[in-house]
Amino acid sequence: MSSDLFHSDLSVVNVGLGSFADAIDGAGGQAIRTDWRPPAGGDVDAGAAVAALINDAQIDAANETAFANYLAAQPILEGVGRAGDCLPGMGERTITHSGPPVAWQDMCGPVKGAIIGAIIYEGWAADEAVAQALADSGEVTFAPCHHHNAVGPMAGIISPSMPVWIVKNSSSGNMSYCTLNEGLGRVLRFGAFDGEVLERLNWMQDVLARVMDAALDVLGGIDIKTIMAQALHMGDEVHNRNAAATSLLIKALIPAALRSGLDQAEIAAAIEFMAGNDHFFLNISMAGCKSMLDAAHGIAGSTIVTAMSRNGVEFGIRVSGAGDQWFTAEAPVVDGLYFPGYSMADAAPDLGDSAITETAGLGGFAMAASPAIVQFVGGTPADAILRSREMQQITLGRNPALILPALNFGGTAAAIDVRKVADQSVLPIINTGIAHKEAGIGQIGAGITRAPMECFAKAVRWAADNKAGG
Amino acid sequence: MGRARALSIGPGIDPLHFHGTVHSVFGRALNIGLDSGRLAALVATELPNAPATIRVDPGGRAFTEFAVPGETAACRAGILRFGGGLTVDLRSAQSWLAEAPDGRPNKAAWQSLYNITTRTTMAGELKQWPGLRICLHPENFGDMPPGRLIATLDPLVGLGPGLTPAGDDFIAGLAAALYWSGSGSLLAPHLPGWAARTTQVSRWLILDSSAGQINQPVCDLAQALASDGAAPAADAVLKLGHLSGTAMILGLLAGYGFAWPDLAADRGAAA
Amino acid sequence: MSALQKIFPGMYRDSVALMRLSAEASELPGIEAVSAIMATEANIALLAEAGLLDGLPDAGPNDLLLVIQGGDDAAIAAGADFIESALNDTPDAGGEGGGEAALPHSVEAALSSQPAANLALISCPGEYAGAEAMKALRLGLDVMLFSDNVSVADEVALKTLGDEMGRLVMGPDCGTAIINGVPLGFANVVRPGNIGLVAASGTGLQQVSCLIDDLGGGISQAIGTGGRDLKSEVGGRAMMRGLEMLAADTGTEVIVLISKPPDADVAKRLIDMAENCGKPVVINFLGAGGGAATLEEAAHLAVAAANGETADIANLPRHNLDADGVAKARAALGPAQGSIRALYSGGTFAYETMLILQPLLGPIWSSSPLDPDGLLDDPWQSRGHTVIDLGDDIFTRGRPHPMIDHRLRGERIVQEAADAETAVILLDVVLGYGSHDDPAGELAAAIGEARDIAEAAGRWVNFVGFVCGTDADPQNAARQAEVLTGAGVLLTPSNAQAARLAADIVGSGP
Repeated sequence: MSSDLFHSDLSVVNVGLGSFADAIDGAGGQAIRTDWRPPAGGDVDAGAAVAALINDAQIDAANETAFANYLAAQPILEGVGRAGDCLPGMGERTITHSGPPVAWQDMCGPVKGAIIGAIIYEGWAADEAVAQALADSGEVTFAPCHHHNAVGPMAGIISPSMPVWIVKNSSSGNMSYCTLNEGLGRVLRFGAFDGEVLERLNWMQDVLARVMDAALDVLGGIDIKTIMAQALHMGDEVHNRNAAATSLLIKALIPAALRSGLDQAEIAAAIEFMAGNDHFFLNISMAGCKSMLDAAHGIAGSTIVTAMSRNGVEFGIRVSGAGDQWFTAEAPVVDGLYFPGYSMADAAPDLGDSAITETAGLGGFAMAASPAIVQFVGGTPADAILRSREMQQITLGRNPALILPALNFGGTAAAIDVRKVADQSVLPIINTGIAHKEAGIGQIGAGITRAPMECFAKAVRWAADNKAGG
Repeated sequence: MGRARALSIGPGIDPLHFHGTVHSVFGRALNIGLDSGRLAALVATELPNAPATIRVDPGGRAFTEFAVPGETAACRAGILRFGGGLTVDLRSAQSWLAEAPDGRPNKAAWQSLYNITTRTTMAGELKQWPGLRICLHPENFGDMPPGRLIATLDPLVGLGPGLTPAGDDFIAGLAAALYWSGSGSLLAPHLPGWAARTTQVSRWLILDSSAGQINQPVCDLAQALASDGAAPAADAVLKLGHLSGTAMILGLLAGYGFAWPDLAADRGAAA
Repeated sequence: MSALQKIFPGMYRDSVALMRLSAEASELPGIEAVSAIMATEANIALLAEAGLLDGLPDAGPNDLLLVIQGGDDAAIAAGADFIESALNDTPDAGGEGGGEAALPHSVEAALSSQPAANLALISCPGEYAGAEAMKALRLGLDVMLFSDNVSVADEVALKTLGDEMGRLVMGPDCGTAIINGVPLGFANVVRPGNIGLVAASGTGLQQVSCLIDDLGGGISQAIGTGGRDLKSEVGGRAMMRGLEMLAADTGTEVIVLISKPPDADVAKRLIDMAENCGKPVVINFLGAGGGAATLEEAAHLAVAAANGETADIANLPRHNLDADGVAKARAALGPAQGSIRALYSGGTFAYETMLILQPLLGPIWSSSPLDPDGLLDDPWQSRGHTVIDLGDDIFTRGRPHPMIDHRLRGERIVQEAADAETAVILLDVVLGYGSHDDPAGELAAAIGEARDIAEAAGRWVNFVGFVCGTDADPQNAARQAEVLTGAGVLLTPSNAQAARLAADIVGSGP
């Protein structure tokens, strides 16, 4: 089998010196210019690993399967339940947190604060000092939410008594869970744990959970993807902009709640609570995205990213074929827009499981649906569209159920392939809130950040080591 | 737009590397004119395997959504990419090759197939073409000397209706039968000339068939003729194209009749 | 003096573009030193050595680092502005976005947007180039790997995979090819014809193709194999594949193989293959066998074979200067002037010249000599007869290749002219795509300066050279020759003739 190079028109991909492309064009050939930069952020070994993975039929087939599972997922919000009863493997002294595994002593301020708050909320300790001692003692088990089919925003703390949204993927049956959103201001997820916070948590457990569950029971469940798809047409990207989705949710829940037979005052309080929080839908969005991606997880040989997540110390990704393994790097401090009086010096490193939305093609990937976001980096609405297009370079395909009108009604880019990230040195983009590094102060800004290349460099090295046939 | 996976590929295409331009597009198939001069066909799953044919699952879409004529189609390392964005993964496609039937046709089967085919409406249509009438009488090929066979076939090249002219389909069926019966060398000197005189699609049909590479339904039919039992199912071939399948069967019968004159002897009712 | 250090995170530009930019910026008023580099470990070390760094900058290999030293802040600010606007003035500035037609960031992305792509030309830094070539190959493209500093192991892996897939791998360190009439890398514009070349030397390929053009012949295909292909470890895989492809190519009737001496096992395999390929094959292994002893002979043999004739290579002209001319050149020299100083941009020319001169003049000094005894203590300082390849790593560290940037050679010319021993300075002038716009002009300036220095010391220095190029090249060989002749350079048609002329002038010849 000999090369047919001499019998075809020469069409040259030029990688490197631009003058070579000019010469080819000048001589009547066809040159395809590239904007090349060292792969994997310049990591030579990782770059060599990528080379071994390109055009591998088995990896490509595994990725197609993972992608098909993701596309077919239909997350249904079925109800609200008790975390300790719902989350698989959640022992009665377990507290889960956002991001990859991290030891108690290494955790950042907001996460420690939230854990203290949860311990008190559970009644395992009466005050901060005792709670601190209990956490120090090792009697409480800490684990990533992701290891228990769950996700949580910011500190992402889930303790056994907390109410969680129950989401079922009606296509493949997998379950996902997330806490209910507390609202803005002094809240547990930023590490606050004073009386106000605990009182609210108790009310959510007693009243809100019950109203929500009853309403969902009347409705027979809510199709999460449908709300997301509508919200994308209305200015949301369902990570940092959730106002439209929240409104759509409330619209569905109110009649059902009214028909549930529960106490009017409680129903009113629940509705007012939701109406006062533009981000109420976020937690449902997160559980829905986890549902879609868990369906794509566990496909042997697949290089598709099934989670991106941070714990305020490390940023970690999970890859479909890599099981429970996390590929981590130092979590960056986000260079975004800060509220008056605050700056990068006050910020906690990137925190939260909410990057599961980007992993599913929403949030930063769907920025074209929500141009106002770019104000965080001083860009223009055109930049928002460019970012969404840029993400098409690192994903397997597009999700036709989640359409972005600004991209000629094309589906949002979905299914990040670690090979493409490393090969092109193009990083997934994330829209995120920024927490104060001290527990309890709350959100101090928001910005656009990128997942760290080191995670993808580690992942491609893993993939090359584990390639079938070596 | 989108991605598809090929299920099988017939001979005549290098499944790893080729380049061409989209030649024509239909609802369930499209043709690519390769640099090598061949036409390669991309067809939906339900269409049969054949030389230079790639079968692919279109996922419910019409092929008209896949590509437009004039678009680039290039295969690199087993991935076929179209200028409009469609990619077809050829890497795990099964290689298909036509298999010769186990033996010669039995008489009863040949005669049964003869009766079925010559009574179809398609056969009636072929009769409307004076030059094609000879095709309706495969029984007359048994006592032809080789020279007369060639002289009979020569005017059929490029003759008749259809994207592949019916005369060419007849020759293809006959050429396959001759190849399988061991007399393929008879036609060999004349093939280049015949191929040059007809359409791009037919050219390769004739050349491939003369090497025993013809579509799967015809192979199945030849195999059925060679098995015990009298009534081979001809439907799969009859529904190929409009008149193509019918003409191919008639050619097959004629070719076998030429190789084994006893097949046509002692027929029951005449055609 | 003031200094500025600025980091552009995630901004990548190729090394040649950055060197050119730095060079331009260094001409601005008040600027003392400018360097724009990608912040790799090696580059940072270079800057530190040059005294341009204040501590270790927080930048990685994908970040662009700019350092400027100048007389005052205003000059530095102006320099920084100049550089920044040049950096941002590209179709796809940085990695963040770009217009509708944003350029692809990888070979795979390029192939998706242009499915008919069939060759990847890779000239990125060596530590990444092997991986890029592997990707291109796995994606089903033929490869020309211009970059060097790719490991032998990588080269063997690439060529083995190439053989399995039926793809051609040219390189690493393949500077020149002409495929289907398209120049790739440093190549000349030559007449199309029926002679196919396979060469392990870029400049060797250039010279033979230009000489063939001169003699009225033409090139069908010119395949480069990379400089290391004919070592045992690599086994001549690329040359064998090239030979196979040309043997099967209907457009090729005569084949020429060009290389520095191959390892013995490889040479044998190639000669066997050549003898059995069914077409006439002219072999020039530069002194290690084959029918052609010089690049010039190879061209003559090839053209003759293409015309169905035989070439009288025994009677090729020694050079093009008559006895009077040689005598005149000799007479102009002082008694101390007896040395040849050959300053080459093409390594193969240096090698060929040493092969020619050594039997005539005795041991030749060099930074890459024929015998270890001839190794210069200091490559920056000539002695006796010296032949230098300025394209060697020693000289190109942190600099563009001498075919692109003539400053180093210009300085060396002046240095040799100032040396009382120097009788002849020998130069190659390589034209074609990739080379400097006006090598003759650059050299003429240096030659002028050199003559002034020699004259001030009461000496005349002879300049001998040859133009490797054609009139169809962007620089136009005829015009370049005019400029050089106008500067008093004695021009010959080929390197072999130039070497022999130089030898005659210092008094070794008949």
